[in-house]
Order: sequence, then structure tokens, then C-alpha cells
Amino acid sequence: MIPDEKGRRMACYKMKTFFLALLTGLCLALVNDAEARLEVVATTPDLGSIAEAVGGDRVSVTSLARGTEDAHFTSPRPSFIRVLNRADVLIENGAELEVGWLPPLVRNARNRAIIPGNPGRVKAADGVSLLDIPEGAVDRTMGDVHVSGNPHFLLDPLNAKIVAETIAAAFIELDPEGAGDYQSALETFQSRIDEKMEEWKEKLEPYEGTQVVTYHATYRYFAERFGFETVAMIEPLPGVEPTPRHLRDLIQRIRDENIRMIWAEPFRPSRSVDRVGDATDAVVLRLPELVGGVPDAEDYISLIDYNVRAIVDALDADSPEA
Amino acid sequence: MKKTRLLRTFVAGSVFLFTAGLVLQGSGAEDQVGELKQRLKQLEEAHQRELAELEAAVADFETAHSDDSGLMAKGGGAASGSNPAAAPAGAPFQPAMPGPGAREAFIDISAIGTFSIGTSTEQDVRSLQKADHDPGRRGFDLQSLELAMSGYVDPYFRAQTNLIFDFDPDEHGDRIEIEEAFMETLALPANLQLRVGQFFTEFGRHNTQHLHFWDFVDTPVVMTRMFGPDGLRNPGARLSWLAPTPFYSELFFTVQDSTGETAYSFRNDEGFLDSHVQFNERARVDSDRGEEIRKMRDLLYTARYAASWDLTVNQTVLAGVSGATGPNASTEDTFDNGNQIGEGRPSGRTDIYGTDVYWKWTPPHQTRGFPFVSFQTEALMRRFELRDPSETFEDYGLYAQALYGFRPMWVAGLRYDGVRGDMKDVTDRGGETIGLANRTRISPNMTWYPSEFSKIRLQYNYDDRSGFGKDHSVWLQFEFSIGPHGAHTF
Repeated sequence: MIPDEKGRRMACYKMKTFFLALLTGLCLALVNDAEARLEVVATTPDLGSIAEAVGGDRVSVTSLARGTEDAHFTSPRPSFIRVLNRADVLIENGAELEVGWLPPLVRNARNRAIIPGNPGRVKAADGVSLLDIPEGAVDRTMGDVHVSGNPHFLLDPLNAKIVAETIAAAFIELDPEGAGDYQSALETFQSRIDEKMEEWKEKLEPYEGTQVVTYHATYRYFAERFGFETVAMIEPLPGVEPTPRHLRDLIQRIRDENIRMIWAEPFRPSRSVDRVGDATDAVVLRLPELVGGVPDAEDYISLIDYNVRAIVDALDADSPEA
Repeated sequence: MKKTRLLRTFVAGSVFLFTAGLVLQGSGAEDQVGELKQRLKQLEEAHQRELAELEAAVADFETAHSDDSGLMAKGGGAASGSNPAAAPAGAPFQPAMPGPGAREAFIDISAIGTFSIGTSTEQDVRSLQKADHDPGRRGFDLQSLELAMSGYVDPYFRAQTNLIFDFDPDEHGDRIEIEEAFMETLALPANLQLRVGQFFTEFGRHNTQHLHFWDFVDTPVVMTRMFGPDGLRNPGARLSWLAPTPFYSELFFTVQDSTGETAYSFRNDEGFLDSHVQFNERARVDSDRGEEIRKMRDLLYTARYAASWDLTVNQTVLAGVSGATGPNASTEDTFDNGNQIGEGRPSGRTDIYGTDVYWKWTPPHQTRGFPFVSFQTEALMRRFELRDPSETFEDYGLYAQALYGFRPMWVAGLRYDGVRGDMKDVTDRGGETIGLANRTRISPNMTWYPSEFSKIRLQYNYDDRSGFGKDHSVWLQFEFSIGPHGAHTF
């Protein structure tokens, strides 16, 4: 054997061994990584808040949409692709809430774990009975109707319990070791909601049957749960900006029927909201839909707390006896 | 011999230990082996479970459809979106609901029509509006009718096709164009993604955007000057890699055919050389012999690196650099009594470089994506080599545009276009030096979106071309899109 060739072979062998060892190391690192916290991405901060409540220290949660904004129209920042690429779990609201921005991000994230059909892709709407599912044929003359139903179901705390269960099931499937932790965190969250529910119901009970006008169909589930009646919207059709004529008719109706409240998310343009408010005796309330929508809404429970308090305060001040 | 084996074992062992040490830091030393075995077992179990789930998912694929089944890529607009008639992912089997219109579970179909009405002080409007889908006539014009179809092919690929129906009374009459038709992988390992088919070259920002995604009624001047009336697109393959940087960054590498009018500055024996006087009488590649692919250098190569940062919670910037290189249609052939002598093979090369920046601000209280302010600019430089290196010429240009979505569904825009030619040593056969005209264009516009599915846009263009003078044009554009709800990319 020529010494030169021998040396080359030797070097080659060493190299191979080195890379093999490195690969083994990397694999082990991956195994170790799997044991680290679950990387959870939630499309909205409410889902994020519920995921945190259920996941505790075993998960690390990132929410994509800002709580202050219109989650139908979140800007699809490229940084989201980065976050989604590393995610173990993606929790989406579903019912077409994120249809305008999420799908291309997921496609570009090239992460099999969060492709629909995998346990890492969690759709919060699954298991929730949705309202406003259109009957019969639908077309866009009806505005931007969601064929699967109204996606703003999380403002009903009982739906938050269902969603927490869906999320816990996904966590348990992906991280079976933490099953006990998830289960007990879920129970804690659900019983906390049950407790608060008593309180919220008690506070709102005196106002049952109160008629409200809302900007968008955001508060349908909330109203349904707490006995309010949503009678009209500032949007003439879902997803369609109000026309002057529609606002005129609406103002007339609020006057005629003595409707007491207008509910709008903080991000809705004050131009049309205040116009209706100023022209009528109805109180305008800015009620956040998402966690972070106002500074006080720090998590899911404080979000509902804030809204309940705002309504009670407004109606108390408004009532003639007060 | 013994010594080397020892060394080998030592190297391997130490690397193993080092990594294992990293992995196991913090855990007890005694039952490492047992723990490792247990982990491997868990991993195996998890793998088995995943496999079973994956199989189930594949089996359910037709019924348990997803929200983002079949979406358009860059185009955004209306051509993409969920399939509302399909059952939600993960739900138990449900019979497909009869949906309105053509809501098929396997394919999303949409049609987008764009029309314009307008006029210009330039009688030959096409000399100003050089892109095929620009408003190109005084009076009424069909800019394009696009039929977009997309969907998941199987658990591995998604596909998209964009057919353009166009009507040009001056030239071709009715015609159909295959703008894009490609398939793309869903989740390759190592953060890679492969796209194969016919598609817009990943160069800069505007080149990959479909007409309904444009912020102005027409194409920036520099884009048509470098990439021709159709934009740069051809059959080929694109590999992209999502880099493991803490911020978003992606590397694209594209190989495409370099021939034809959609490779305008490259082996395009008609468009580019015809459109500029100084090349008009030059020998060029023979369309029979010259266009065949003989070596790797005969293809068109494009690379792009894009990165993005969230400057604040309200501001995002996306920046990129791109470069394309390929053969062009000039040859070393000579003329003899009007007959072209030689091989008809390309000899010159074209290189195009570009850089682009997109910045967007949306305040915390955004409704429907409004208000917003965005700024976008692209600068391109082209090096076009004729047969003689001394005849290499360079030209460059840029556009910069600002948009202000000042109230829901209303956007005001302003765009500046500037291109500069190069007259360096490029002469026609008469010995006269003629360069590409310098041109400046300023375009304010206003867009109203009655809904997300329609748009009405008014635009004024002030044009100043060296050697041609000043021109004024006004265009009113209408656009509709029917089909599933669209999704936008950044």
C-alpha cells in the first residue's frame, strides 16, 4: 500500500466517523429538544391565553395577531413564518376568522407538524356549536358571510371551556408525559370559569333582554349567553362598511325602539360609531374582543371581566333610578 | 495501526460524549443509558403513533378538508382561500355540503377581471404602457381576465395555475396565456421547498405579483424595461430555504429556461433586440439552432435573499437582493450580403441585479387592515453584453411608491419611476450612437375597494421621455374577483 493513499483513506475514515458521531449527537439533541417545552403558536391572544392556562410551564406560547386589532385582517408579517416554522402546535380560531392571512404563512412555514390533519394543528372552532350558519344558498350579495358560522365564539365563556378542552387534548397527544399536568390545569381553568360565570351572570341578570346595536357580529355569542338582544348592526352586511343611508336608517331605528347601547370593538372607526352615538341616546361602549384589546384585558378571564364591568357601569349610570 | 484505531475511537468517543454531555447536562449520571433507551423507545412509539395518524389523515383527506386547501401563492387577491363548503379538519366524517357556485373540495377556482377606461396625449399608447397587462388603448381596454385554480395535489404537493385571457385588437386578437402553472412541496426536510413548473422568477418584489395585487394600474417602467411586457417567467425549478436565523430570512435559487419573450433580456430573439434601434440590425441567435440547450450556461439562473424584521410591534420591513444571469440573443455571427454567417449560437450574456425594500406600518387599532402606510422601492441594474465586450452596455432604473390607506377601503398612492439608458459605444450599422431613452414618470392614484372583492382605481401618469417629450395619461380601472376568499402575503 502506498503510504500516501493510506493516509488519505485514514483521513477519510476519520472524517466519516466524525460526521457519524456529530449526527448521533444531533439526534440526541433533538430527542432532548422534544422533552423541552412545547412551542405553541396561537393566532389570537385569547387562544394564547387559554393555551397558557392549560399548558402552564410545559408550553411556551406566541400569539400572532395583536389584541388591539381586527383579527380578520392581521398583517401577515414574515416573522410569523419564522415562528410557525418552529412550532409544535398551531392553534387557530377557525370558522374562517384567519382565512385572509394565515394559510400562506402556514404553507411557507414548511412545518409538517402544523399542516392541517396533523395533531399539531388545532382548530378551536371544532366542538363549538357555531351560531349564524347560513341556511340555503349563500352568495356575496349577503356580504362576507362565513359559511361555517360566526367565528367570534370565544366571547361566550362556556365556549372557552370547550376550547380549553380541545387544546388540552392536543397537548396531551403531543406531550403524553404531561398528561397529568394538562388535565389538572384544564380542570382548574374550567372551574375558574364556572366560578366567574356565576358572578358574571349575577351582575348582568338585571339587564336581561336589553337591546343592543353592534358594529359587527362580534358579540353574538356573548349576547346569547348573557341574555342581551343584538337587534341591528352598524355594518349593513357582514364585512361591508356602513353607507350614510344605512346609518340614517339605523339612527331612526335606535330612536324609535329606544335601544340603549351600541357595542363596538376599540378598533372600529369612531367616525360612524360616534355619529350614531351622538345622534341617539344610546351609550357607545368600546368592548374588546381579544385579550390585550384594552390594557385591563390581560388574560381571558380579565377580558370578560372588563366587558361585564363596562356594560354594568354603563347601564347603571344610564338607568333613571341611578 | 493500533494507534490510529485508538485515535479514531478517541475522536468519535469524545465527540459523542461532548454532544451527549450537552444533551444530558443536569440529569443524573447513573441511569443515563437507561434514560436514553427509554427516550428512544418513546420516540419510536411517538413515531408509530404519528405514522398511524398520518395514514388516517391521508385516508380522511378527501372528507376532512382544511381551511387552507388550495391557496394561491403570491397573488393574494381573491384567488385563494378556504373552502367553506368543506368539512373542518379533524372533524368526523360529514357529507360534503352542497355549496353555492363551484365550491369543489379539491380545487379552488376564481376569476378576476380587470378593465380600464382612459386616454393619453400619446397616440401610440403602447409606447408608454409597454406591459401586456397595462391599460394599452385609448378608451376601453381589457387588461386581463385571469382564471386561477389551485389546490392540494396530495399529501406532498400543492399546485396552482393562472390562465390569462386577453384581447388585443391591434396584435393578436384573443389569446390565452399560461401565466403560472406549478407544483410546490408542502414540507420537505431541512426547511427546503421545491417548486417546479412555469412561474414568475423570484426576482425582487413586483415581478412575482399578479395584476390584481398591483398597487397601480400599470407596471413600473424599470420592470418592463428589464423583464419585458410579460415579466420574467419561464418553465423551471425553484428551491428555497428558510434560513435558521432568529429573524425571517429566505434564500431562493431558481433555474429556468432562458428562451422566449418571457425571458426578455435573455435569449429572446424578437422582443428585446427588436425594440431597441441599436440592436435592430445586429446578428442574433438563430431561432432554430441557437435556442437549443447545449450546456448549463444556456439556462437562466436567479438567486434571491430576502429578510424581514419587525421594527416595532406596528412596523415591519422586508428587504431583498436579487441577481439573474443567462445568455442573451446576441451572437458572434457576421453578415455577408445580408446573409448571416456563423453558428447562430448566443455569445453575449446578460446580468440583472436588483434590490428591494418594503416597509409597512399599521397602528394597533387597525380595522380591515386600515389605516396603513407603506413604502416600496426597487432598483435594478442590467449589464447587457453584445458580441464585443466593448459593446457591453449598462442601464438602470428604479421605482419608489408610497401608499396611504387613510380610511377603511380607501388608499391614496404616489409612485415615481425613473430609468436611465446607456449609450456607451453601442452603434447601429450606420455608425450612429443611439441609446435607450431616459424616462421619468410620476403617478398619483386613488383606489376605492367597495369590498374585498372589487376595486375602482383612478390614476394619472405624467411622463417625460428624452427625445419624445412630455405626456399625460389618465386611467380608470375596474376589477372584480369571484371565488373563495383570498389570502394576502406580506
